[in-house]
Amino acid sequence: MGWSDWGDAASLETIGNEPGSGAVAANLQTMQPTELWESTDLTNLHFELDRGSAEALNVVALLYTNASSGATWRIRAADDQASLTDGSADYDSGSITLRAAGADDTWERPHGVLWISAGITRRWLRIDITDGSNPDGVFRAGRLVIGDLWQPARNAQYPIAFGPVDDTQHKRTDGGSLIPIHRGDPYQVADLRFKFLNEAESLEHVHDFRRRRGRRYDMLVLLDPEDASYLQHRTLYGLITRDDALGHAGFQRFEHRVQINELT
Amino acid sequence: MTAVYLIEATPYDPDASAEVTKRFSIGSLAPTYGGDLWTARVERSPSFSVEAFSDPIIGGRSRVSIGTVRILHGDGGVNLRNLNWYGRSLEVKRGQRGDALGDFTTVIRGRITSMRWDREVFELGVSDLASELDVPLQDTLYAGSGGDEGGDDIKGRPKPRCLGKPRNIAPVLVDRANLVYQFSDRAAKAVDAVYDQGLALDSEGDISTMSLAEIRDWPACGGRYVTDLGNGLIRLGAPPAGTPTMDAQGDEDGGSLVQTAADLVRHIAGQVLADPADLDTTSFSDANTSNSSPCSLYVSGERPTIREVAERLMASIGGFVAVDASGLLKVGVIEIGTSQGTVREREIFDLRRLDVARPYWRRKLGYARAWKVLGQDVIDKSAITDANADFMGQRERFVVAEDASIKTALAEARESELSTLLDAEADASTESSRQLSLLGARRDRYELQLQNRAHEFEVGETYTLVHSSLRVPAGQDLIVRRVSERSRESTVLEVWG
Repeated sequence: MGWSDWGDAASLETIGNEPGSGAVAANLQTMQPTELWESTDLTNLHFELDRGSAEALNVVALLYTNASSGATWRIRAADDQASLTDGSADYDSGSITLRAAGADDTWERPHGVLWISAGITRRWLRIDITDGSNPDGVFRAGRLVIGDLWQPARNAQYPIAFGPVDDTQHKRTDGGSLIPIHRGDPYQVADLRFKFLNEAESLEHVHDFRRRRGRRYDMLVLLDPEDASYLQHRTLYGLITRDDALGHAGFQRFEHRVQINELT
Repeated sequence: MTAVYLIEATPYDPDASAEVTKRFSIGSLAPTYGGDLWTARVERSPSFSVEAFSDPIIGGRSRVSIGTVRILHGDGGVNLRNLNWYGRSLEVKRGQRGDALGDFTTVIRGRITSMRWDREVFELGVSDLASELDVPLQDTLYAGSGGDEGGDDIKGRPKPRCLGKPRNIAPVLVDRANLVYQFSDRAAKAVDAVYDQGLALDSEGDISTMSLAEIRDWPACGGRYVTDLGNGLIRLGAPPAGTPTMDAQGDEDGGSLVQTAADLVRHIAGQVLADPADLDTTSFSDANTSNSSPCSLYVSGERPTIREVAERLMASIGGFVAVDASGLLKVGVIEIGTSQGTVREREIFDLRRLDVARPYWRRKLGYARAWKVLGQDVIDKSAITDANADFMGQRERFVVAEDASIKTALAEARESELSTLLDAEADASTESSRQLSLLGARRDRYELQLQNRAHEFEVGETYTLVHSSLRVPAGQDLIVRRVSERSRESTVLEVWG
């Protein structure tokens, strides 16, 4: 888990073909996924980011897209801009399917998640997207997260509670019909309990989350970043809604419980 | 399917020295419509309530209320505080996710009347289009600078207004030296007669046909008068023995006198609203189809609002003034008409009967008003006709529709009287009979709550209600009296009939 510490600090090259007012690429660096970016360019869609100095990253996540099943993307990273495209990029994902594993057509806003398990440290990054058969005629995305996520040495305590929540209420009519009272769309939640954190993890990461993100700013949680079947299901972008104090349970053992509600 | 609400407002930006368009939505995953991003920060769809008529059923006031628009700004994601919001327009559109912007329907339109904010919420209060009518019908005042602007004696008084064919009105003396009187502050259609102590004076015609540049250019002669229709003036040829009165024809539209209640409402509403953009024009033509009786009104000295006059006009034909389901100003005649649809028991969450106004067994309507009543002692009876003397001596005349047998079944039945602005006895008689038929019967009033039928219902329209608890369980035709749209697609209807 972590946040877009690399992506939000980078300067994003403005992309052409942004229709209408408001749906600009800069929205990818803001928290609300409904404040989105939209482009009519489906075949030559790319943008470049300059972090200013080489910094670590291990995830590139383009969230809340309308990517079709045929959409692909390619991520390249380098320490200078020219190397991004001259064949000498230090990192090149190649052209890969954009939709995260498990995101079929029933997902209205599939995510794209590239997990770089070994991590890289670079200044420049380029993303190319191709989605020529997108039925909407435009490509949309709500959030770009590029960051250096923390992965705890020991997993969260089982049982891990996560999944969609639907706040719909029900009312029954005089005639006996049961009618759902809609209240927005279902959203994902996760309730994670870490029982066996060491001092470095708790103070360098958990303490950092609470201090720098708190309940105010967005977080990205990948419950299993290498899940080859259900990564879409296990990707949660949201706000911390319950944030228990860091518990010093014993010698060199810390614990923490956190709940995250999806930003939709 | 989840409904999507879009809010569009046009506050003034002092930095840009221009109005700017701000777009918000309650959220719809990807809130881009019409190529624009509708920022998803509206907490919930604003509530909306319109009540077309109350007690009394005819002549009761209509009411509209719009809930506040609450924009969540606590995260600093939008900064709206530097804009000037008061008096600027705001529209709420409703549609379904994935609709093109053109498929959205405007359900509320009005002006912003309040702006509040705290750390969490930026809140805008909105008034409806009908509230634009809450301004004086007559907004021009005498300057007291002489000539047609009168002297100090009338300085600051509102100028008169003449609508339809009001009879025996008292014009305002604006130029004592030249005996110039004003009966309308705008061009009038005609002057039918001028009286002194009830005796008709002879007309010399209008200055427009006499090659006179100004009414004061007329060489005055006793027993006669001249008109200046372009400025709503008359001039007498000699000092009157008593208070001069007159029969006039007021505002015209395209060369025709504006006379029916619906046309007159449309005419005066046009002073503050855009015609036709702000009007439900179909409702005006439908009201004319239901009742096209001529009405008349003279306003002098008092300052009624446009809304008050409009409601009086529509009450004269048993109607109302409200806004329709798209926020446009509408008028209607209260009648149990053709059912626009059926509401069934399985759709209803809550149903209750409310008390109703007492029925009538006698309905008495006043008509043909004499706007200046002359005492018999001031009428010169030497040459006046009995008919004129009687007319000028009585404020209004009456027609009565009654059926004493109604009291047998409905012990609470009562007599009722209403002064109308109708001109003709036959029209008043027809209307009183219609109103007795409508209000001289057992009626019911129900309040019911529905779900997922937001913004489908119009006040004044008839629907069939089918419910096992009703007096007529197989189906009762009822007029929608009040529609309240609440958040989460909940609708409360009050129906009567």
